[in-house]
Amino acid sequence: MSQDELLIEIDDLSFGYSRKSLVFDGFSSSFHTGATAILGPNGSGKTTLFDQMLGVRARKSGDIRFSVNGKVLTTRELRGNVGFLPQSDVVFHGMTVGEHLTYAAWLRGCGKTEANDEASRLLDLVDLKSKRDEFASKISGGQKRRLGIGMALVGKPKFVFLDEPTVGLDPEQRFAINTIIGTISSKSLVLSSTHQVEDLTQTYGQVLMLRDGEKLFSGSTEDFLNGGNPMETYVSRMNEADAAQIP
Amino acid sequence: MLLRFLRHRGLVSVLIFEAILFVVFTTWADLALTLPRFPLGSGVVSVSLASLLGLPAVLAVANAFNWALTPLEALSVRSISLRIVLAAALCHGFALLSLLVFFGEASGLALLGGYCYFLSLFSIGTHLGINKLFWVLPTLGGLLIVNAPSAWLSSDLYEATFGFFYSENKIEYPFTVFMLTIFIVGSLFFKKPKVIS
Repeated sequence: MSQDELLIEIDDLSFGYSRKSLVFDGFSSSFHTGATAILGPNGSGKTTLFDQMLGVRARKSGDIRFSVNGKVLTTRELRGNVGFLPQSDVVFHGMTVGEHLTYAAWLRGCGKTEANDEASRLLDLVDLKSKRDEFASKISGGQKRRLGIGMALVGKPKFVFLDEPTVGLDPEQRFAINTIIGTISSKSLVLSSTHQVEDLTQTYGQVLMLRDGEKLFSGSTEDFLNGGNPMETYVSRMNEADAAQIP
Repeated sequence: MLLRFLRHRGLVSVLIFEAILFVVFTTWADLALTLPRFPLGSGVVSVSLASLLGLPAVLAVANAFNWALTPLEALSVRSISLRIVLAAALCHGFALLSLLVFFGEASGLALLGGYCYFLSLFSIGTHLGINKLFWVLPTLGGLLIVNAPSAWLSSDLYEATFGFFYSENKIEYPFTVFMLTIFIVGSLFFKKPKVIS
Protein backbone atom coordinates (compact mmCIF):
# COMPACT_ATOMS: atom_id res chain seq x y z
CA MET A 1 0.00 0.00 0.00
CA SER A 2 1.44 3.38 -0.99
CA GLN A 3 2.07 5.94 1.69
CA ASP A 4 -0.31 8.90 1.86
CA GLU A 5 1.12 12.36 1.57
CA LEU A 6 -0.04 14.03 4.75
CA LEU A 7 0.34 17.71 5.36
CA ILE A 8 -0.61 20.27 7.99
CA GLU A 9 -0.18 23.90 6.99
CA ILE A 10 -0.39 26.78 9.44
CA ASP A 11 -0.58 30.23 7.88
CA ASP A 12 -0.23 33.48 9.77
CA LEU A 13 -1.68 32.15 13.02
CA SER A 14 -2.40 34.67 15.76
CA PHE A 15 -3.72 33.71 19.15
CA GLY A 16 -3.55 35.00 22.71
CA TYR A 17 -5.19 34.13 26.00
CA SER A 18 -5.80 37.83 26.53
CA ARG A 19 -6.27 40.71 24.13
CA LYS A 20 -3.08 42.41 25.26
CA SER A 21 -0.54 39.62 24.81
CA LEU A 22 -0.39 37.13 21.96
CA VAL A 23 1.15 33.67 22.28
CA PHE A 24 1.38 33.42 18.50
CA ASP A 25 1.57 36.47 16.30
CA GLY A 26 1.69 35.64 12.60
CA PHE A 27 3.04 32.14 13.15
CA SER A 28 3.43 29.91 10.08
CA SER A 29 4.72 26.39 9.73
CA SER A 30 4.04 23.08 7.98
CA PHE A 31 4.37 19.43 8.91
CA HIS A 32 4.66 16.36 6.68
CA THR A 33 4.25 12.60 7.04
CA GLY A 34 6.56 11.27 9.75
CA ALA A 35 7.34 12.20 13.33
CA THR A 36 8.05 15.79 14.30
CA ALA A 37 9.25 16.76 17.76
CA ILE A 38 8.05 20.10 19.05
CA LEU A 39 10.64 21.34 21.48
CA GLY A 40 10.73 24.31 23.77
CA PRO A 41 10.71 25.37 27.40
CA ASN A 42 7.55 25.45 29.49
CA GLY A 43 5.28 28.22 28.28
CA SER A 44 6.79 28.33 24.81
CA GLY A 45 3.44 27.52 23.19
CA LYS A 46 3.69 23.80 22.47
CA THR A 47 0.37 22.78 24.01
CA THR A 48 -1.27 25.98 22.76
CA LEU A 49 -0.17 25.09 19.24
CA PHE A 50 -1.85 21.68 19.65
CA ASP A 51 -5.00 23.37 20.94
CA GLN A 52 -5.00 25.60 17.90
CA MET A 53 -4.55 22.76 15.45
CA LEU A 54 -7.24 20.68 17.15
CA GLY A 55 -9.60 23.62 17.30
CA VAL A 56 -9.88 23.55 21.08
CA ARG A 57 -9.42 27.31 21.24
CA ALA A 58 -10.59 29.83 18.70
CA ARG A 59 -7.78 31.66 16.94
CA LYS A 60 -7.65 35.39 16.46
CA SER A 61 -6.64 35.03 12.85
CA GLY A 62 -4.86 32.69 10.48
CA ASP A 63 -5.58 29.44 8.74
CA ILE A 64 -4.81 25.79 9.54
CA ARG A 65 -5.32 23.14 6.84
CA PHE A 66 -5.05 19.35 7.04
CA SER A 67 -4.65 17.57 3.72
CA VAL A 68 -4.22 14.03 2.45
CA ASN A 69 -2.67 13.57 -0.98
CA GLY A 70 -3.36 17.20 -1.77
CA LYS A 71 -7.03 17.10 -0.74
CA VAL A 72 -7.88 19.43 2.13
CA LEU A 73 -9.99 17.67 4.77
CA THR A 74 -13.26 19.06 6.07
CA THR A 75 -13.66 19.23 9.83
CA ARG A 76 -15.97 16.22 9.62
CA GLU A 77 -13.39 14.19 7.71
CA LEU A 78 -10.76 15.35 10.14
CA ARG A 79 -12.67 14.04 13.15
CA GLY A 80 -12.20 10.46 12.00
CA ASN A 81 -8.54 11.00 11.25
CA VAL A 82 -7.17 12.64 14.38
CA GLY A 83 -5.67 10.88 17.37
CA PHE A 84 -4.83 12.88 20.47
CA LEU A 85 -2.94 12.11 23.65
CA PRO A 86 -3.57 14.90 26.18
CA GLN A 87 -0.90 16.03 28.60
CA SER A 88 -2.69 14.49 31.56
CA ASP A 89 -3.88 10.90 31.51
CA VAL A 90 -7.55 10.26 30.79
CA VAL A 91 -8.58 7.37 33.01
CA PHE A 92 -12.17 6.37 33.73
CA HIS A 93 -12.59 4.89 37.18
CA GLY A 94 -14.16 1.46 37.22
CA MET A 95 -13.16 0.77 33.61
CA THR A 96 -10.57 -1.86 32.73
CA VAL A 97 -7.69 -1.29 30.33
CA GLY A 98 -9.45 -3.35 27.66
CA GLU A 99 -12.70 -1.44 28.16
CA HIS A 100 -10.85 1.86 27.69
CA LEU A 101 -9.64 0.76 24.28
CA THR A 102 -13.01 -0.69 23.30
CA TYR A 103 -14.67 2.54 24.35
CA ALA A 104 -12.11 4.61 22.40
CA ALA A 105 -12.77 2.44 19.34
CA TRP A 106 -16.51 2.96 19.76
CA LEU A 107 -15.93 6.70 19.98
CA ARG A 108 -14.12 6.42 16.67
CA GLY A 109 -17.27 4.91 15.15
CA CYS A 110 -16.51 1.18 15.38
CA GLY A 111 -19.26 -1.37 16.00
CA LYS A 112 -19.03 -3.78 18.95
CA THR A 113 -17.09 -6.57 17.20
CA GLU A 114 -14.85 -4.16 15.35
CA ALA A 115 -14.17 -2.28 18.60
CA ASN A 116 -13.13 -5.49 20.35
CA ASP A 117 -10.81 -6.41 17.48
CA GLU A 118 -9.30 -2.93 17.50
CA ALA A 119 -8.80 -3.11 21.27
CA SER A 120 -6.94 -6.42 20.88
CA ARG A 121 -4.70 -4.96 18.16
CA LEU A 122 -3.85 -1.94 20.29
CA LEU A 123 -3.24 -3.99 23.44
CA ASP A 124 -0.57 -5.77 21.43
CA LEU A 125 0.83 -2.53 20.02
CA VAL A 126 1.19 -0.80 23.38
CA ASP A 127 2.18 -4.02 25.14
CA LEU A 128 -0.65 -4.05 27.66
CA LYS A 129 -2.19 -7.43 26.82
CA SER A 130 -1.42 -8.78 30.29
CA LYS A 131 -3.25 -5.79 31.84
CA ARG A 132 -6.39 -6.13 29.74
CA ASP A 133 -8.70 -6.96 32.65
CA GLU A 134 -7.10 -4.71 35.25
CA PHE A 135 -8.67 -1.41 36.23
CA ALA A 136 -6.89 1.39 34.40
CA SER A 137 -6.77 3.47 37.59
CA LYS A 138 -4.58 0.78 39.18
CA ILE A 139 -1.86 0.47 36.56
CA SER A 140 1.45 2.37 36.68
CA GLY A 141 2.06 5.86 35.26
CA GLY A 142 3.99 4.49 32.29
CA GLN A 143 1.27 1.98 31.55
CA LYS A 144 -1.36 4.72 31.72
CA ARG A 145 0.67 6.70 29.23
CA ARG A 146 0.85 3.68 26.92
CA LEU A 147 -2.88 3.19 27.34
CA GLY A 148 -3.41 6.84 26.39
CA ILE A 149 -1.32 6.34 23.27
CA GLY A 150 -3.33 3.23 22.45
CA MET A 151 -6.56 5.25 22.77
CA ALA A 152 -5.08 7.95 20.55
CA LEU A 153 -4.19 5.40 17.88
CA VAL A 154 -7.59 3.75 17.63
CA GLY A 155 -8.68 3.48 14.01
CA LYS A 156 -5.17 4.19 12.69
CA PRO A 157 -5.58 7.98 12.49
CA LYS A 158 -3.54 9.78 9.88
CA PHE A 159 -2.81 12.75 12.16
CA VAL A 160 -1.56 11.98 15.66
CA PHE A 161 -0.97 14.60 18.36
CA LEU A 162 0.98 13.49 21.41
CA ASP A 163 1.36 16.02 24.19
CA GLU A 164 4.43 15.02 26.19
CA PRO A 165 4.05 11.27 25.65
CA THR A 166 7.09 10.33 27.71
CA VAL A 167 6.84 12.77 30.59
CA GLY A 168 7.73 11.25 33.95
CA LEU A 169 8.66 7.85 32.54
CA ASP A 170 11.71 5.74 33.20
CA PRO A 171 14.18 5.09 30.33
CA GLU A 172 12.72 1.66 29.55
CA GLN A 173 9.19 3.03 29.27
CA ARG A 174 10.42 5.96 27.21
CA PHE A 175 12.18 3.62 24.83
CA ALA A 176 9.00 1.55 24.46
CA ILE A 177 6.88 4.62 23.71
CA ASN A 178 9.43 6.04 21.30
CA THR A 179 9.46 2.71 19.48
CA ILE A 180 5.68 2.92 19.10
CA ILE A 181 5.93 6.48 17.79
CA GLY A 182 8.62 5.36 15.34
CA THR A 183 6.37 2.53 14.13
CA ILE A 184 3.28 4.62 13.52
CA SER A 185 5.13 7.55 11.96
CA SER A 186 5.85 5.59 8.78
CA LYS A 187 2.20 5.98 7.76
CA SER A 188 1.02 8.90 9.89
CA LEU A 189 1.87 12.47 10.61
CA VAL A 190 2.89 12.48 14.26
CA LEU A 191 3.41 15.68 16.21
CA SER A 192 4.85 15.21 19.63
CA SER A 193 5.60 17.92 22.14
CA THR A 194 8.47 16.85 24.33
CA HIS A 195 11.21 17.96 26.67
CA GLN A 196 13.19 14.78 26.04
CA VAL A 197 15.72 16.05 23.53
CA GLU A 198 17.73 12.84 23.99
CA ASP A 199 14.93 10.99 22.17
CA LEU A 200 15.34 13.00 18.97
CA THR A 201 17.66 10.64 17.13
CA GLN A 202 15.72 7.50 18.02
CA THR A 203 12.31 8.75 17.04
CA TYR A 204 11.91 12.03 15.21
CA GLY A 205 12.81 12.98 11.65
CA GLN A 206 11.80 16.62 12.00
CA VAL A 207 12.12 19.26 14.71
CA LEU A 208 10.20 22.42 15.44
CA MET A 209 11.72 24.48 18.23
CA LEU A 210 9.61 27.16 19.90
CA ARG A 211 10.20 29.89 22.41
CA ASP A 212 7.55 32.39 23.44
CA GLY A 213 5.52 31.45 20.38
CA GLU A 214 8.44 32.19 18.06
CA LYS A 215 9.92 29.58 15.75
CA LEU A 216 13.60 29.18 16.66
CA PHE A 217 14.20 26.24 14.34
CA SER A 218 12.26 24.16 11.86
CA GLY A 219 13.83 21.40 9.80
CA SER A 220 15.29 17.91 9.89
CA THR A 221 16.68 16.42 13.07
CA GLU A 222 19.99 15.99 11.27
CA ASP A 223 20.20 19.70 10.53
CA PHE A 224 19.07 20.56 14.04
CA LEU A 225 21.78 18.49 15.69
CA ASN A 226 24.43 19.21 13.07
CA GLY A 227 26.53 16.39 14.45
CA GLY A 228 26.26 17.64 18.01
CA ASN A 229 24.91 16.22 21.23
CA PRO A 230 21.10 16.74 21.50
CA MET A 231 21.10 18.34 24.94
CA GLU A 232 24.07 20.61 24.22
CA THR A 233 22.58 21.61 20.87
CA TYR A 234 19.25 22.44 22.48
CA VAL A 235 20.82 24.53 25.23
CA SER A 236 23.16 26.34 22.86
CA ARG A 237 20.30 27.23 20.51
CA MET A 238 18.34 28.56 23.49
CA ASN A 239 21.35 30.60 24.61
CA GLU A 240 21.77 32.00 21.09
CA ALA A 241 18.13 33.08 21.15
CA ASP A 242 18.62 34.69 24.57
CA ALA A 243 21.71 36.53 23.35
CA ALA A 244 19.86 37.77 20.25
CA GLN A 245 17.14 39.24 22.48
CA ILE A 246 19.55 41.31 24.60
CA PRO A 247 19.63 44.83 23.15
CA MET B 1 -21.81 1.40 25.16
CA LEU B 2 -23.82 4.54 25.91
CA LEU B 3 -25.03 2.93 29.13
CA ARG B 4 -21.44 2.15 30.02
CA PHE B 5 -20.57 5.76 29.31
CA LEU B 6 -23.30 6.94 31.70
CA ARG B 7 -22.36 4.38 34.36
CA HIS B 8 -18.73 5.47 34.28
CA ARG B 9 -19.80 9.09 34.41
CA GLY B 10 -21.33 8.27 37.78
CA LEU B 11 -25.04 8.35 36.98
CA VAL B 12 -25.71 5.74 39.70
CA SER B 13 -23.68 7.80 42.19
CA VAL B 14 -25.65 10.91 41.25
CA LEU B 15 -28.95 9.14 41.86
CA ILE B 16 -27.74 7.80 45.23
CA PHE B 17 -26.47 11.27 46.11
CA GLU B 18 -29.86 12.74 45.29
CA ALA B 19 -31.60 10.15 47.47
CA ILE B 20 -29.33 11.11 50.39
CA LEU B 21 -30.03 14.79 49.78
CA PHE B 22 -33.72 14.02 49.79
CA VAL B 23 -33.48 12.39 53.22
CA VAL B 24 -31.26 15.16 54.62
CA PHE B 25 -33.34 18.02 53.29
CA THR B 26 -36.66 16.56 54.32
CA THR B 27 -35.37 15.58 57.76
CA TRP B 28 -33.74 18.91 58.58
CA ALA B 29 -35.82 21.30 56.54
CA ASP B 30 -37.35 22.96 59.61
CA LEU B 31 -33.93 23.42 61.17
CA ALA B 32 -32.64 24.99 57.97
CA LEU B 33 -35.45 27.51 58.02
CA THR B 34 -34.76 28.64 61.57
CA LEU B 35 -31.10 29.49 61.05
CA PRO B 36 -29.99 32.90 62.44
CA ARG B 37 -30.46 36.07 60.44
CA PHE B 38 -27.56 37.70 58.67
CA PRO B 39 -27.05 41.20 57.24
CA LEU B 40 -27.33 41.65 53.50
CA GLY B 41 -27.60 44.92 51.63
CA SER B 42 -29.26 47.59 53.66
CA GLY B 43 -31.26 45.32 55.90
CA VAL B 44 -31.28 42.10 57.81
CA VAL B 45 -32.57 39.09 55.94
CA SER B 46 -33.48 35.73 57.36
CA VAL B 47 -31.79 32.70 55.88
CA SER B 48 -34.69 31.57 53.81
CA LEU B 49 -35.32 28.50 51.79
CA ALA B 50 -34.48 30.50 48.71
CA SER B 51 -31.06 31.60 49.96
CA LEU B 52 -30.26 27.99 50.78
CA LEU B 53 -30.46 27.31 47.07
CA GLY B 54 -26.80 28.30 47.12
CA LEU B 55 -26.04 24.96 48.76
CA PRO B 56 -27.62 22.85 46.03
CA ALA B 57 -25.89 25.06 43.50
CA VAL B 58 -22.48 24.31 44.98
CA LEU B 59 -23.25 20.60 45.17
CA ALA B 60 -24.53 20.63 41.62
CA VAL B 61 -21.42 22.36 40.31
CA ALA B 62 -19.26 19.70 41.95
CA ASN B 63 -21.26 17.01 40.19
CA ALA B 64 -21.54 18.76 36.87
CA PHE B 65 -17.77 18.91 36.37
CA ASN B 66 -17.70 15.13 36.36
CA TRP B 67 -19.89 15.19 33.26
CA ALA B 68 -17.65 17.26 31.01
CA LEU B 69 -16.47 15.43 27.91
CA THR B 70 -12.81 14.42 27.73
CA PRO B 71 -10.76 15.61 24.72
CA LEU B 72 -11.01 12.12 23.24
CA GLU B 73 -14.81 12.27 23.45
CA ALA B 74 -15.07 15.85 22.28
CA LEU B 75 -12.98 15.04 19.20
CA SER B 76 -14.79 11.78 18.45
CA VAL B 77 -17.37 11.07 15.79
CA ARG B 78 -19.84 10.22 18.59
CA SER B 79 -19.60 13.53 20.40
CA ILE B 80 -23.08 14.64 19.36
CA SER B 81 -24.62 11.34 20.54
CA LEU B 82 -22.80 11.68 23.85
CA ARG B 83 -24.07 15.21 24.36
CA ILE B 84 -27.64 14.16 23.58
CA VAL B 85 -27.50 11.19 25.95
CA LEU B 86 -26.04 13.36 28.70
CA ALA B 87 -28.74 15.94 28.22
CA ALA B 88 -31.39 13.21 28.34
CA ALA B 89 -29.91 11.69 31.48
CA LEU B 90 -29.88 15.08 33.12
CA CYS B 91 -33.48 15.86 32.27
CA HIS B 92 -34.53 14.09 35.45
CA GLY B 93 -33.38 17.25 37.17
CA PHE B 94 -35.96 19.32 35.39
CA ALA B 95 -38.64 16.67 35.93
CA LEU B 96 -37.95 16.59 39.66
CA LEU B 97 -37.83 20.36 39.79
CA SER B 98 -41.25 20.59 38.23
CA LEU B 99 -42.72 18.00 40.56
CA LEU B 100 -41.04 19.00 43.78
CA VAL B 101 -40.46 22.73 43.68
CA PHE B 102 -43.59 23.83 41.90
CA PHE B 103 -45.97 21.40 43.56
CA GLY B 104 -44.13 20.20 46.65
CA GLU B 105 -45.19 21.51 50.04
CA ALA B 106 -42.17 20.50 52.12
CA SER B 107 -39.19 22.82 51.86
CA GLY B 108 -36.80 19.85 51.87
CA LEU B 109 -38.33 18.65 48.67
CA ALA B 110 -37.92 22.10 47.21
CA LEU B 111 -34.24 22.06 48.10
CA LEU B 112 -33.81 18.72 46.38
CA GLY B 113 -35.62 20.15 43.39
CA GLY B 114 -33.28 23.10 43.51
CA TYR B 115 -30.30 20.80 43.48
CA CYS B 116 -31.61 18.90 40.45
CA TYR B 117 -32.39 22.17 38.75
CA PHE B 118 -28.85 23.46 39.19
CA LEU B 119 -27.32 20.13 38.25
CA SER B 120 -29.26 20.13 35.00
CA LEU B 121 -28.52 23.76 34.31
CA PHE B 122 -24.79 23.49 34.92
CA SER B 123 -24.35 20.18 33.18
CA ILE B 124 -26.23 21.20 30.09
CA GLY B 125 -24.35 24.49 30.12
CA THR B 126 -21.09 22.55 30.23
CA HIS B 127 -22.07 20.55 27.19
CA LEU B 128 -23.35 23.53 25.30
CA GLY B 129 -19.76 24.71 25.33
CA ILE B 130 -19.74 27.30 28.08
CA ASN B 131 -16.56 27.52 30.07
CA LYS B 132 -16.03 26.64 33.70
CA LEU B 133 -16.64 30.15 35.01
CA PHE B 134 -20.18 30.35 33.73
CA TRP B 135 -21.65 28.91 36.94
CA VAL B 136 -20.57 31.99 38.88
CA LEU B 137 -23.19 34.16 37.23
CA PRO B 138 -26.21 31.91 37.77
CA THR B 139 -25.21 31.19 41.36
CA LEU B 140 -24.53 34.76 42.40
CA GLY B 141 -27.38 36.02 40.30
CA GLY B 142 -29.76 33.51 41.82
CA LEU B 143 -28.78 34.41 45.35
CA LEU B 144 -29.13 38.10 44.63
CA ILE B 145 -32.46 37.67 42.95
CA VAL B 146 -33.99 35.81 45.85
CA ASN B 147 -32.48 37.98 48.57
CA ALA B 148 -31.95 41.41 47.19
CA PRO B 149 -35.53 42.48 46.52
CA SER B 150 -36.61 42.53 50.17
CA ALA B 151 -33.35 44.11 51.31
CA TRP B 152 -32.70 46.67 48.60
CA LEU B 153 -35.94 47.59 46.94
CA SER B 154 -38.42 50.00 48.46
CA SER B 155 -41.43 48.24 49.85
CA ASP B 156 -43.68 49.56 47.06
CA LEU B 157 -41.35 48.46 44.30
CA TYR B 158 -40.78 45.17 46.03
CA GLU B 159 -44.51 44.57 46.33
CA ALA B 160 -44.98 45.47 42.70
CA THR B 161 -42.30 43.13 41.42
CA PHE B 162 -42.03 40.21 43.79
CA GLY B 163 -44.77 40.59 46.35
CA PHE B 164 -47.37 38.78 44.30
CA PHE B 165 -45.15 35.76 43.72
CA TYR B 166 -44.14 35.63 47.37
CA SER B 167 -47.70 35.85 48.54
CA GLU B 168 -48.71 33.10 46.15
CA ASN B 169 -45.73 31.05 47.28
CA LYS B 170 -44.58 30.90 43.65
CA ILE B 171 -41.31 32.77 43.83
CA GLU B 172 -39.84 30.06 41.60
CA TYR B 173 -41.47 31.64 38.55
CA PRO B 174 -39.64 34.98 38.54
CA PHE B 175 -36.61 33.16 39.90
CA THR B 176 -36.57 30.80 36.91
CA VAL B 177 -37.05 33.63 34.44
CA PHE B 178 -34.16 35.56 35.97
CA MET B 179 -31.95 32.49 36.10
CA LEU B 180 -32.56 31.68 32.48
CA THR B 181 -31.85 35.29 31.54
CA ILE B 182 -28.57 35.22 33.41
CA PHE B 183 -27.77 31.83 31.92
CA ILE B 184 -28.28 33.14 28.40
CA VAL B 185 -26.35 36.34 29.06
CA GLY B 186 -23.60 34.30 30.74
CA SER B 187 -23.40 31.99 27.77
CA LEU B 188 -22.88 34.96 25.49
CA PHE B 189 -20.06 36.38 27.58
CA PHE B 190 -18.38 33.10 28.56
CA LYS B 191 -18.84 31.24 25.31
CA LYS B 192 -16.09 28.68 24.79
CA PRO B 193 -14.81 28.19 21.26
CA LYS B 194 -15.93 25.06 19.53
CA VAL B 195 -13.80 21.96 19.44
CA ILE B 196 -13.57 20.52 15.91
CA SER B 197 -17.19 20.02 14.97
